[in-house]
Amino acid sequence: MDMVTLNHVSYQYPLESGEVIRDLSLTLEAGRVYGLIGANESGKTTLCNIIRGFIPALYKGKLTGEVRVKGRPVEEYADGELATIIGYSFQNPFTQISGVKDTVYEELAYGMENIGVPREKMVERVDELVRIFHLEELVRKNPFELSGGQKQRVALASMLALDPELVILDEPTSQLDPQSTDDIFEIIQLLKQQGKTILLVEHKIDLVAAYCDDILLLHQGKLVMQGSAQQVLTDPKVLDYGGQLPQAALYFLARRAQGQPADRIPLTVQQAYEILKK
Amino acid sequence: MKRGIKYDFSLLALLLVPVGVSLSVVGYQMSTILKLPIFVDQIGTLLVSMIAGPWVGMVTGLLSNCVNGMLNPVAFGFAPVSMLLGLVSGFLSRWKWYTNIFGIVIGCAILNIVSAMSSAVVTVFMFGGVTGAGSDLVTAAFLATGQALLSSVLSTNLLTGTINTIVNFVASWIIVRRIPDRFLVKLNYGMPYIKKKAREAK
Amino acid sequence: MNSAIGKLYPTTKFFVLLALVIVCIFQPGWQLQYLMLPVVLVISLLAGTAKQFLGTFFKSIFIIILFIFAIQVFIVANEDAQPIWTFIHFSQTGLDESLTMTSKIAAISSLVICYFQVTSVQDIIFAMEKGGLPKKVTFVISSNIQLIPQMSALSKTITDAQRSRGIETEGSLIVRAKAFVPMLGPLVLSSIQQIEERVLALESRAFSSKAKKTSIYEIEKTAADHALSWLSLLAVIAYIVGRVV
Repeated sequence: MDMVTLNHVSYQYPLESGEVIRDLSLTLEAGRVYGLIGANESGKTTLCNIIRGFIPALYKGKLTGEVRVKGRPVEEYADGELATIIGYSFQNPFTQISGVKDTVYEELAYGMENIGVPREKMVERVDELVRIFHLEELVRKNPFELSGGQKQRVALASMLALDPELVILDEPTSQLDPQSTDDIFEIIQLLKQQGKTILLVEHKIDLVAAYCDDILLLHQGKLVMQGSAQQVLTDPKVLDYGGQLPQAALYFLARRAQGQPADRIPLTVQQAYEILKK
Repeated sequence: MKRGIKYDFSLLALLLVPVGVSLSVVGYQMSTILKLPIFVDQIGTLLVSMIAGPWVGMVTGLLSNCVNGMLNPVAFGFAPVSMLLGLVSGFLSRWKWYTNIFGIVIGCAILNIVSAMSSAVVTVFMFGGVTGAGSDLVTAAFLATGQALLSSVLSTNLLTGTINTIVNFVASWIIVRRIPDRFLVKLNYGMPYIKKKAREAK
Repeated sequence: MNSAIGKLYPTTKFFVLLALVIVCIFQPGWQLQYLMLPVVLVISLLAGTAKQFLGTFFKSIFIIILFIFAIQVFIVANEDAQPIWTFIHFSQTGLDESLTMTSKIAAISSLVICYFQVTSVQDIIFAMEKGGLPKKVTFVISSNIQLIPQMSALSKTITDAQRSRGIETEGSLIVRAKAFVPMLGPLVLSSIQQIEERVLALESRAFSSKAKKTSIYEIEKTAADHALSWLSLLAVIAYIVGRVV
């Protein structure tokens, strides 16, 4: 099933000249993990906002083309309805707490409260989330008092409380330390196992290579490359578009350039190790 | 763009309220703690009223005083003053008075009169002519010259209020001018403050 | 908040508050109003908030009451004023006036202070939601309440910084203003810019959903709540009837 389809979508921010997204078409299939990569200002966040329907609803500006979520035009969804289908988390951990709750426990329930989930079900679901995300030590704390990494974990958990089918993660780890980054990717792994569709914007290309099935590469608002991670992230053309390649792939590409045999370009250090062992 | 009580309270405007309230409350607390001769407790209310309109401005004024009131209950009594200030300032912004220096000067004068009169009414009828602040001495001086209570308080307010109004207004104005266009464009009342000339895009 | 009074339903306490405030406003004289002070103090003692109550009371209300007496009795030139020294004189009308006015201020503000000290904000918000207030209203109120500790912390940081530089005591107005603006300006601008993302984050949590909001936090009305609410209502009716007849 197609989770998201974009047909010849172009977008221009208000007051700005020039399109940020230019004639872009793509399809996200249900159950796959997509890595959205590209240089800064290539339109990654804009694309996420278009899929979620925040553009043009909140940003105004000029959007042309067609955006469908689960086959239905995105603008036809009622207010708040998309929140239960698409979960969205953002770069900045500090802007993601609701700011109206005393404890993490209540914070986790906020989305469910808004869609009117009965209390018993909320309690059940929150307990489940606490267990899955290892939040036992945080539940009684005030969300304002959490560290960046803890806030990000709580934000992810409360977004997932609504059990969305598609999860958009816009640079969830860009402001986090390595330990917190690992925690977040552990969650991504879990979501993958649950069969969620994931759209991940991430600069840490080695992690993208390790976790994503497919790669979408944006360059100046255009979708210039797409395909399986193996296909895209071993192709030196990525570098021409301002993208990055994983360490292992770069190393093997360099070896190949020097004339050494390299039939298969690995994506991760683990794969590289396997190849070299032979 | 549609405006009015029903449309002004967008989520964006709602989130602006706590920012305005924080600004006003911090200004109030600092004025009290540092014993500043002027009260910088209306910056937030004026700021929000400028970019989010009269109704949201009024709510910001009300909540600022309620928060201050938890520390010093006297502030509850002066809530109508802040509310009126937010309301009037919001309408001035809506009528685009704040886009030229002439409108700003007249606007400040109006704001000053509005706040002086409304707070004089509260001071006299609710608190018998005192506010518990340093300006009470000025009132006492006017009284000593034989003036009636209401006119003494009003004179005090106009005198000390002028500097207050100017400082509060200028501070909020400077902040508004620094808010990026892409944010202003999303607000019902942000248009007059957009620097770029690409307004035909709307 | 763990006392019996703290655990009462917020609207119950509000009805009691309202009843007492109504009586204080319409009862002539000042004796009953000043009698309200010991009553409030007893309530605070029972609820375990007496210390907080006295702190707030003396820091704010008490000062303003003193000022009112000073101005009304000794300075305002009433007709019965008897000169003491240059512009200072004693006025019986002023004294009567002050008593009526200060007794009302003291009674009503003590009641309000006490109410907020024995009622948790969370309870008030819950009662408001349950009472059918729009989500946007409760949102604005609770988002402000949540920020109060941060506001005070910020004021403290700024004033400490000012004090450590000795600005408070010796700096001119311009010096103080110059130190004030660079600290607040960027902070305000960054908070404003964060709002954009917060809108998206809240929408992602279905803020705009038209469904009737539920709450994971819950408090319930007990028999005591119903009894007290009815009692307050009856008391007000009895008082009004008594006044009119």
